[in-house]
Amino acid sequence: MDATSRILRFQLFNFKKTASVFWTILLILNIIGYVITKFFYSKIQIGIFHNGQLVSITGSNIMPILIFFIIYGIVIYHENFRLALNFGATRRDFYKSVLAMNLIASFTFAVIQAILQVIDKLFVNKMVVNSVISFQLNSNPIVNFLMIILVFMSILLFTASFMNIIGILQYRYGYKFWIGLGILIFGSSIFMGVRIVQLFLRFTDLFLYLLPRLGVFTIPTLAILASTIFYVIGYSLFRKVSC
Amino acid sequence: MLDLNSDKSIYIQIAEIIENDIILGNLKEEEQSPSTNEFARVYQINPATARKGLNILVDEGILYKKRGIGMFVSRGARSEIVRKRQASFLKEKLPEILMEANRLEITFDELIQHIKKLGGGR
Amino acid sequence: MLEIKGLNKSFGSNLVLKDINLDIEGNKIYGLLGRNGAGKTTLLNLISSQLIRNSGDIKYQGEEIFENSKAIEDMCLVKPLPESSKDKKVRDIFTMARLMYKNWDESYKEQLISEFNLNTNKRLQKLSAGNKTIVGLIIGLASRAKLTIFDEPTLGLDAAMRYMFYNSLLKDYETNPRTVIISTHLIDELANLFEEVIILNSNMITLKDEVSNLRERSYFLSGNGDIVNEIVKNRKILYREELGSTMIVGIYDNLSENEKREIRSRNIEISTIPLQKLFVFLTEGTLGEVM
Repeated sequence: MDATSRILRFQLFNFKKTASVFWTILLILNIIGYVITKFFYSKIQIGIFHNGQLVSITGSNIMPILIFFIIYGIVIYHENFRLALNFGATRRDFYKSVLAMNLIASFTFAVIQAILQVIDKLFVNKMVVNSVISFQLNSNPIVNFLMIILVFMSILLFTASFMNIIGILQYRYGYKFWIGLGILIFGSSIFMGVRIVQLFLRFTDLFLYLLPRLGVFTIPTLAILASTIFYVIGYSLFRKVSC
Repeated sequence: MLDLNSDKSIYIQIAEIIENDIILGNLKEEEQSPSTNEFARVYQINPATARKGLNILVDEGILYKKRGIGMFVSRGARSEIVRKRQASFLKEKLPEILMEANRLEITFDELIQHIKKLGGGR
Repeated sequence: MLEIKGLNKSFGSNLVLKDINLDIEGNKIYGLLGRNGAGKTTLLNLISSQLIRNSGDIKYQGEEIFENSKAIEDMCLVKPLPESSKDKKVRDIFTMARLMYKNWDESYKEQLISEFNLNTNKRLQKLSAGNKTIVGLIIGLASRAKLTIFDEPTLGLDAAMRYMFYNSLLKDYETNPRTVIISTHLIDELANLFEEVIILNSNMITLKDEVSNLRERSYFLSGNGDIVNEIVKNRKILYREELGSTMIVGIYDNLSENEKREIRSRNIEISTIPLQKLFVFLTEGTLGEVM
């Protein structure tokens, strides 16, 4: 067995543990969400609402998933790389394993979440008269399902590739990175104030608006393109990193 | 026993340990001597050091190698060791004693007298 | 097996290793000696490609090691595990090592765990300093890497544990020979395990020789000051001390039997320098090249 596959198994070992814990907790929360919605709908509202109407319960998983990828992108360098380097990995092989892991992670998470969305839609439709907004990208339900996976996966991959760069920078510069980031955030919030949050919210609205309207392949294509660029940038930063 | 802190090199001590065993009769002719690995394990030394000690004895003809099996005590090893040690005693130890006696201003005759009194030699 | 030529390493403006040339042969146990801060750890990290050098070549079996997985997969460097892994369970760390090292021997690792009485269910940070070291030692031994390097393997170990380690190392070396490099400043106990020692001093390698040669080339000469001075002229002097009218000088040089006899005849005492003392002399000060 050659070096690349050994490092990949090393990565998978770590990933499996964290991912299982993550999804176990998330699924439990989702189930609790369903139970509460079914029995206590009038008293407690859980899930994503739009204009007072329940849209989705599992949809709110998206935030934790993004946070997972953000943290994972940093941890993979901060913990895994340090150990892998100690145990005899080359930087090139390690980077290949990161790419592979990102693909695996974004794919599996996308598939799981897509399945949850389908279940969710059935559930919500039973609960409420009609879910007002549906993630309908294609009339054929199977194709629709695959499209959703594709969109999710490309978004997650985009996040992963971006966090990959952040992770490398954090590894290289350590505490200096965090200080720099802090200065950036505080600095920009002083200069731009609340406008940053508004900008972000408007961006998400725009995204949700555009999503069903743009040719459905635009988002994945852009995301994958951006990811590739990010990965190339990442490697140039990573190649000469010391322990 | 091996003195790890001694001035004498360890591999020389190993050679001497084997020689002593041969003289005492613990290791007889044509018997197999302990291997380098056994020495290394017992005394916690590098096997190469032990090998060096055994190789000295091979070079001197006291041990011989049986390929694939190990080291064995040569025929006539005991007498060879005795002869070797006799030579060393006479060429090195004795001159030292004489030099020391000289330094202490013990005359040659006084020395011979004392030796006679002690009944030295066989 | 390993050829190092013209190796240089600086951290910023701080030159740590200067023009290092070294040939490491297979299946030998080497000792790497030097004072604290001499650059031993840096050298070992460079050899295992964890640090990046400024200049020079490091070749393993003729091929450059940098980013060469074929070379690096034959090496194992045992050093303190990173801080970031302190929350991991010991058995998970062993699993990760097992996944990474191609020659890993799982049953040997289990045997060592019970010999050293290690509780693998604990998290790394909950272990005592000694046990933390032992985790590394077990990884090093069980990796069966063709080039296994131990950087200060005795930290935090009591005498019993240290001897257990020496025992395990020698026992395994007997049946599964490999190249071992041990860096230490604890010379007393380890000197007898080494076949060759490499001494790092003032950023350079000042000596590389078989341990037996070292013993046979180092002498204390003591006696009348004038005579001693005459004898040691033009020889490598390691040490000089005066006690009343007696001069004690430590030299590193060959002395033939005739020379020794001659020296003794002039009432100068010749004795060998204990290895520990010898290494202290060789690792301190600015001796430049002894060999």
